[in-house]
Amino acid sequence: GSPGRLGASPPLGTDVVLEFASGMARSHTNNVGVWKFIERLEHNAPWIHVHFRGGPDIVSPTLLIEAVESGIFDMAQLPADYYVEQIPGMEMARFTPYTPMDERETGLAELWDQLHHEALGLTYLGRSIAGMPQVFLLMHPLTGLDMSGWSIRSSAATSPLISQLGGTPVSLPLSETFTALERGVVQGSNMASIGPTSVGIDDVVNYALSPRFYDSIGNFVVSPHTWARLDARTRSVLRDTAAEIEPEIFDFHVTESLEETLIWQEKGMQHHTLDEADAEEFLHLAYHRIWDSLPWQRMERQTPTAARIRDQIRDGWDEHDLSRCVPGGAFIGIEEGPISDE
Amino acid sequence: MEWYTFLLLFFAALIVVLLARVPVSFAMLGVGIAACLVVFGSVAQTGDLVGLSIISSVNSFTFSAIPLFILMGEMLFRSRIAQDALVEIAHILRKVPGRMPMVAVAGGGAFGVLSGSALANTALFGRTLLPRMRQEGYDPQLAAGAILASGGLAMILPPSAIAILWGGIAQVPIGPLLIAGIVPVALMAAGYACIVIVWSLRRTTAPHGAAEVRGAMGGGGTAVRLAMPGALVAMVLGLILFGVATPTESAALGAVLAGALSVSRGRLTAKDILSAARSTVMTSAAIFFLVMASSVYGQLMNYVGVTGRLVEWTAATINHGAVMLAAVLLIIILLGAMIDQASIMLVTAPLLMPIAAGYGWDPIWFSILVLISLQIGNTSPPFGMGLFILKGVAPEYTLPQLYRATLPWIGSDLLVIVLVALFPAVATYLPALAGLT
Amino acid sequence: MSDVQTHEDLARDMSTTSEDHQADRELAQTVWTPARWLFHLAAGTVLLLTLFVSGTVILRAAGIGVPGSVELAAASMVLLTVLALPAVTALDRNFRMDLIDLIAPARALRILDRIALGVQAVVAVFLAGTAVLLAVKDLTTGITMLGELAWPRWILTAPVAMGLLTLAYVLAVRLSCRPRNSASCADETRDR
Ligand code: NA
Ligand code: NA
Repeated sequence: GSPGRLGASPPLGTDVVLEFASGMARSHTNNVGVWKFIERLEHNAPWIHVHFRGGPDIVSPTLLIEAVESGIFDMAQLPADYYVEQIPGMEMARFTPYTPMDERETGLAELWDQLHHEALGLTYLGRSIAGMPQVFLLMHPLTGLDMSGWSIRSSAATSPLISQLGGTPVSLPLSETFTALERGVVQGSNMASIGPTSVGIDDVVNYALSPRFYDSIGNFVVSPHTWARLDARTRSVLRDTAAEIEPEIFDFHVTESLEETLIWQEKGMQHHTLDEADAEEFLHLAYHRIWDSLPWQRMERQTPTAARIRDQIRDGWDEHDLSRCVPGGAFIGIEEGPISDE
Repeated sequence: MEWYTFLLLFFAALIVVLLARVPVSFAMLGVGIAACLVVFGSVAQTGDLVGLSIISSVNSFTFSAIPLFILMGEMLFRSRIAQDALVEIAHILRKVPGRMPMVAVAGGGAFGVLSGSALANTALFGRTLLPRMRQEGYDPQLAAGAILASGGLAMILPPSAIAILWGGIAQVPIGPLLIAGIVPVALMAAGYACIVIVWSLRRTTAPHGAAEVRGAMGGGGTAVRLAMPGALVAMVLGLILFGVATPTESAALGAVLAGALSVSRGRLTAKDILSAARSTVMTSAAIFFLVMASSVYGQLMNYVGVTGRLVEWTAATINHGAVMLAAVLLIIILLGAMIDQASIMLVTAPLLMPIAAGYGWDPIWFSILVLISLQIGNTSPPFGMGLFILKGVAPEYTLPQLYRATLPWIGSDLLVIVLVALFPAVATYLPALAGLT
Repeated sequence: MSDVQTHEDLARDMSTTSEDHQADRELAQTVWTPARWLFHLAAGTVLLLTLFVSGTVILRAAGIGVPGSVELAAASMVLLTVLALPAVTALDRNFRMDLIDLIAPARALRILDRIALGVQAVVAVFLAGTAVLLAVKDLTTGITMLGELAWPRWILTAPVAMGLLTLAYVLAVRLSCRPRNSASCADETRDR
């Protein structure tokens, strides 16, 4: 933080103060990765002090990336979907077939960093959220991959898939989703696989659809102004700590997704698992079809690196069956619980 | 700088600028920008934060219900459909003592729902209905009290623009909030009716105003005149109640229907519709500019950590919830002496809602208490803004006269506050029954 | 007093048409032309929004979703605010605390009014500056708006810049008017 900032500790020798913001409120479960990162950083680098300044109470989450670009915050954690308006290349993030660890190994993580630099001069450190797939929670089983006549609560990231399936995507605030499901205003909701329980959605829906798809991605990013003034030692400890903590973050989300799924089962929600042909077609729509409709021109105009990321993600899909391309698992919970395949 | 030093300096600066007659929104922006410059030490970053606030703070689907409801009301008033209903009510009440003050309360309430400002309402009705009631021989104090109190219904009567504003700012879902207001507002109205009847019965001479106010206007009998606006409001609330549409969607449908109804009855021309839209925009823009201004202030308070520390401090200092609640409501009532309700909400919500959450208060119940307190603050002696507005348009009253005029109505509102505070179900039962909470 | 008259009176008492006419008259002055145009645009926006939102409800009932409708309705709130703000400010209809009016002498109030206008003008210039920079940024970077439509954000931020520049102009005009001096400054002498 710049000197004169209210509440910031005075610099002690080489001490570094980082003003941190999140796309989520302080106590949100999607900040678990943040606390893990901060704790590890304090251990690895006692000279760095991270001030968690807040979440949506300070800057609108979908504009947070611009506040980081401006230097209002030194660092932030936010879902990739929150800044596709500013960096369209981030549209590709949810399609990744790789775990964060695989992304580092294959060099994809470096490409993401390059993409952030090309777009807004930001530094990408690593994933703050990964391993949490998207899931359809439905009132009725999905037969023949046909959602026609259904309204489904969704986000901009998943609406195109719902349209592909013949359904009507509806934007609804999370707070209104429970009531809308209960009243039959919508026949389902698309959600991340951690969180529906916290808003009681699992009390009203009957089916969780398998396969799950995409990955809910969150990133740690650093302001260009901050990165420019940081010394080499601080820069490398930030990068190393982000890499070091990623496996824990990934494991946490995979485990938590499974545990929440077991809660759903206890509450009487059933798995509705598509048969092999339907599952393949479903994933083909979610991945290939929607992928083709991404704003490629806009992405490549802003960030030439987008083309390299595109190729590498596609290569990843070709190595496996698509059902093995969902980093958090396309069929979580199914082997563990009392299965009721509708 | 300690958090409380920052808080005190901020408010001291704000009060100085407000006393210089700078509009509240400009004052909050001016002081907010100055404070950002101090905190960030950078013009560029301050500009970026303010710019992002401007495009995001009113960028809300919830808020779009506000102009739509105001437009619906504007159409009902311009086509005189609303006034017809009031005249019918006056006719039905022709045998009831204090007919005109009751109509004033009902009309003021209905109109205030739209205006977003009980103060503007007080000025309008003080200029128009007040001289009329005095002409008709009503007790001047009863007449003045009725006009002051009518703003109180406006705060809570669904679909109140000011309640939606509070819901948007305080992050309270507005569907349940609007429904929660129904029972408290009925209690307030019952209290007001008692005041009017008791006051009128105590008088020996009856007012000499026209006993019959129905005219040869428009078509349709009593049923039609009352049913049309009644059905419209019932439809709008029903759509919300049964979860068929969001408040914004209900408001849009309500506005379209109000317009269609008025046009089909030959009561509204294209020119009237444009003029209704201009009025709507005038009111909404003033409210939303205030929201933009307060968002910079609220974000800064959170960034500096004032909000969190204030919550910690209150929790450590006042460990009795009831005492805290009384203190909070008292502060709101006192602020009512200085500025309009929308401004009070926007200044207090960023600090109050975290405190409410800290004490585990039901946000809907707390919001209803806040809304009633806002009305009391506006009409409370010695400095309530509403009193001075009325004094301004009706200079024949002395302040002590107005104080006496307003006391019974405040007493009635306080009774309702105590009821809601002691029995939260008064507010929360209906939304819970509808399955909204 | 006949029935009809009484009814007419009551209805007129409870309408705001006279206030409308006053606002229209004041806004009609040449000096407020930019503010007036933006104000009419804002009024058009609210009418379009009404029809649009109603249309989406009906379409949804028919099973047809309108992607981006929620985001569009939300963004139009920003639009109507900044477009109407110059007119609101030209007519001096922003909320203010009037406590000091009750005690201060007229001369002191006139001085305070100049100070208040100065503060408003400074704030407006700052807002206009940030809005112009934001619009330029959006034009050069191609940032889009929230939602599936991915419309360029300058569609929103350019009008915001225009509205706030007009706001600064309005306050400059009001600041440059000597009260009771010029017909174009009617708002300065109103309520005095
Ligand atoms: Na964004
Ligand atoms: Na917002």
